[in-house]
Amino acid sequence: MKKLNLFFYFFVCFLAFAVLVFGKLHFLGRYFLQSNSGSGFTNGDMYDMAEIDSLKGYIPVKNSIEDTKIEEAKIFTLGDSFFQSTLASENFANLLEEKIKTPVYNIVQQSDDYINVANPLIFLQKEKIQTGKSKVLILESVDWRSQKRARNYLNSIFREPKLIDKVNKLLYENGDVEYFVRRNKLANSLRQKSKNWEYDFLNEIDARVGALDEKSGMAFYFEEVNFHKNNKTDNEIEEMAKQILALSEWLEKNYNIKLLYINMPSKFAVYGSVADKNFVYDGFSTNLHSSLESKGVNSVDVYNLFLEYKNQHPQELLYYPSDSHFTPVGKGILLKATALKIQDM
Amino acid sequence: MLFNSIEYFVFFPLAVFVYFVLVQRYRVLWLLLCSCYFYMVFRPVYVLILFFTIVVDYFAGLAIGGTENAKKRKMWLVVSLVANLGILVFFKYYNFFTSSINELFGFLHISSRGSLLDILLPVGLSFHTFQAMSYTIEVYRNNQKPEKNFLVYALYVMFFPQLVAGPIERPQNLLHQFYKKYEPDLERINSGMRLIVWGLFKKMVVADRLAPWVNTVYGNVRNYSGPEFVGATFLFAFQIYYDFSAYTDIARGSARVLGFELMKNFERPYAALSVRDFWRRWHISLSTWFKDYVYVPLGGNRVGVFRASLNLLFVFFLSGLWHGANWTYVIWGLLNGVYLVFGNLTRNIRSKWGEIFFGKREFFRSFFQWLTVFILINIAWVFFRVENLSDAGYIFSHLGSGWGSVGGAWILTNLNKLAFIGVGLAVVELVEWGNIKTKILERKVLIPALVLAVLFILFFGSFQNQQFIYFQF
Repeated sequence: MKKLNLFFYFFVCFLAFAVLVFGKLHFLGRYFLQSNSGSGFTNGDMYDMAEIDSLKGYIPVKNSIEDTKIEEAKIFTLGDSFFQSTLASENFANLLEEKIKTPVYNIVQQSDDYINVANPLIFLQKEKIQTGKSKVLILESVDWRSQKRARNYLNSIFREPKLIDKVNKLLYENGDVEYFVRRNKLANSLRQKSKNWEYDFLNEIDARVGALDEKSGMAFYFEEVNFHKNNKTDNEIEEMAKQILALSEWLEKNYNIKLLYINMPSKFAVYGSVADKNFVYDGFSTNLHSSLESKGVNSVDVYNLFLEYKNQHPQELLYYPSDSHFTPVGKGILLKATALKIQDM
Repeated sequence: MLFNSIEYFVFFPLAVFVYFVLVQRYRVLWLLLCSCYFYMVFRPVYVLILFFTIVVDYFAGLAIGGTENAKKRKMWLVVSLVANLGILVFFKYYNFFTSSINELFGFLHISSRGSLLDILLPVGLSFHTFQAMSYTIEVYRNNQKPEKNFLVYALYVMFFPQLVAGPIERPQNLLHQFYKKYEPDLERINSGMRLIVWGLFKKMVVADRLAPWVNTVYGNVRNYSGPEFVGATFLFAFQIYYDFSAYTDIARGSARVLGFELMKNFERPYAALSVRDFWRRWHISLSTWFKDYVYVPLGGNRVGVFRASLNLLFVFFLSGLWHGANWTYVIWGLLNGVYLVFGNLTRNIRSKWGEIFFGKREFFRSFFQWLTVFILINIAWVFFRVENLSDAGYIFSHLGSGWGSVGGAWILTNLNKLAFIGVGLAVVELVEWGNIKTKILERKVLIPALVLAVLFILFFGSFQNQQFIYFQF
């Protein structure tokens, strides 16, 4: 008994060591990880969070290859996961390039933090872009992150991570270890069973799912739900528009770049009433669009375009039920509107 | 680092393994490094605050112990207290006091306004500050010799199991333990592990499952009415108890695995038959801290009734303020103080009434006492949990509303959840009761029970990394 006990504690220590090694050394750990999606498809980011069997989707994933050189580009696209999304279609930049037959360069994620992920200032500082012929920057942000991003656009400084940052990241940011524990092949099935049990028996779901319509399987990310449940004041929108105007003027003055701003409505803005009968959209995206246009900043009113299409074609989904991002239908509407806008600029 | 995080499940076994592998002379250093890391996971730079108070208190302790001159001793004690309280006031209370003064100025139509600082409260500041102060006070009182080994003193303040949420230890209990050599005794390790598993069970299976119910109601009180307020407050009473006592259990269990014994912090507080009894059982390390270092020096109950009552109210005012920089906590503290003062003043009358009403029916008398205390404590919890006084006002003014609409349909919809919570509460209460009666958690529990508890945590535990409530203090 004593030996068994001792063996048990040695095993626990060994397990802790193994988790640390496989969690931190990603090239080793990945062999033990269970992927929720197969190759070439995903079940959706909301399914990945909730892991409820009835929410599982099947969404093919395309490969998007960047073949435009940065110096050849006449248009840059810079956005968050909506612009990087390749769900059932190529990324936005490639589709736009094909549509308007003009070189488009997609700027990939510029920062580790979500606020600065699509910050032109960081990109320009990092790539040392030279002033030359007039270019266009299509800047996209999902609505629920757009306020914070707008505040940050002209206040960010790119700096190469110092040694201390790297050490801090290695020592104190342990998201990778946690990910390994949650997603390894042993724990994964147990966790999924537990989450399904919680859902079936206690009607509880992962806290990251802010709203859910069981009938349609439409799940919404909690941040977007929270954002849309708080009405934005006119002053807040005006302030935001001023910050984007300042960015637009700064880009034009320093880099000869014209800005086209796209405020991307999140799924809850368009389909929120499916999960919450009392939800009334506060018009944030449209109000921001109007405010920007009145200040001379180019913008696309995606929300109204989506709403119009949704009313005309209620059977065609603009967003995936098990994912936060748009379907090729939604992407196509944005693409068409953007192409038209660029012609006018 | 949270005890209920995956990081801790990796960190702790490795820390223990290396600790027992090392020779004795390096063990303190190792535990100190582990404690630094444990704290720096929250926010690395805040370790500097700890370092500052450690240095000040270490030298203050040496200076107090190194002289017989009363004035000098007092001066060094004041230096230490000012340094500790200065940091506490700056980080925890500066914005609170400034905004309170601003509000007062606004009320008086005075235009001058103090500016607020954009600072984050370092985790567990109130806990380690109080523990550090108890050292210099005890050295000043000649109850403790000044600690000469800087690393040992630093470890006394930073010992990771109790660094961020107590128990607030006394130097007499903890310092000498760092000099002992502990072998990896399997029985002690098993006992510590049982406490850790039990704490995790209480936190992850029960307390964290109560949290959504409580948060929903208290997060938006204006959408709810009487039945929800009563239900949410009742659940909060158990949530905060299980949450905090779980932390203490894991802290004590972790320390025990390493060989150290930390003080008890809870003794089934909801079994109390008087408010005084409740405070003997609730957050014992803080209650005794205030008693030893504030209440007794103020004269305690050796002075007249009026003065003793004032002393009590003052101590509970401080206790409320200690919990948080918000008037809600102050009122929570004062309300408990009022309960105690009222209890003291009416003890004889209540005793006579008890004899008249209940006679020799002791069970009914005890039940009535228990129920009264439980209700009083729950009323006070409302102030502890609300976000502002306006919410508290709303709750108390709407307690009587909505009772007609309590329907069977709601109960049926939530039957599974209610049953789960009911079973959870019953299991915890039974085991805690059994632990006091028969020391069940100290005994050699069968391996299947331990395995069952671990499986329960894995399967029914909430893995949302919810912080312990007392971390914010």
